[in-house]
Amino acid sequence: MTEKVGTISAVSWEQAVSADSSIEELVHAYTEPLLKGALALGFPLDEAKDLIQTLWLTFMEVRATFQGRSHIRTFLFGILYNKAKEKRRYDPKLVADDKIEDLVNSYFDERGRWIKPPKDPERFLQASQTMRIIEDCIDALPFNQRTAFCLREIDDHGSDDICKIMDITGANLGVILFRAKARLRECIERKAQGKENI
Amino acid sequence: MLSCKEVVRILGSGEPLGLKRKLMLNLHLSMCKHCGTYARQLKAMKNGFIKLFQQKTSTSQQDIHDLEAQVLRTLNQTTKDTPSE
Repeated sequence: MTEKVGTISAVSWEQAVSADSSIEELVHAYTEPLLKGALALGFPLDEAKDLIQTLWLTFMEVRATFQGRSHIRTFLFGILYNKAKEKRRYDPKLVADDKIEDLVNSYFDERGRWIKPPKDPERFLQASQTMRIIEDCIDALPFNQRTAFCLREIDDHGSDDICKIMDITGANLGVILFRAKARLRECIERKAQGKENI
Repeated sequence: MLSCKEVVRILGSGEPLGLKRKLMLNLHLSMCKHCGTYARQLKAMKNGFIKLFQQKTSTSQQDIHDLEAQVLRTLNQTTKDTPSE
């Protein structure tokens, strides 16, 4: 193995890729969901295709090291996440002082009651269905927040799988998802009010 | 009783809830106008993003087919280059 692939050694596999499972079958079964995953992470089509090519090459390199205890889909998405992270340059898993935390804190008084409640729900609903607005908002998310949000809300991966894919704890995933959704909601609300992005 | 601030965090993190906490959350949401709005906004937002991704990730079957063929060609080539595989 010439390349370090982050999560792979740390993950425990629940399901073996049997020795004779053909690579053709795997490529036909998983290239489409992986390509869609790369597109959801914001890569343009050509870059996404290159990423998937590299991913399969890496898979061939690390395939021999399989212990055989995880789902192959989780394994492949783990490689996708690491390749995407390399392309985006490194992005810290969890930063201590994300400014969205201060912003959300400022919604509440010291007893945890609303002082800045959600504004104008009607306009928010419209904005949340306006493709141009939500595309701008998701593009503004930090990479790990975008990844967690896409895997969870769009692709419907289970929490345990996402933790394996991103190599994080369940508690960290909760924090990352909270920040992702809070930031998206704030962004949509601002755009609904005709204001600048945070 | 959960505070509004706690409710917003629970809704965002999607943490798994025990029965008691789930009941407390639902009770709060049914009584608190602003938290109810917040929860509906997250739901609407999710639906909006699902639509966006369906649009953004709609690739033609021909595209997928070509990519699969290209991947398999590359992999075959690599296997030939390294006989130990």
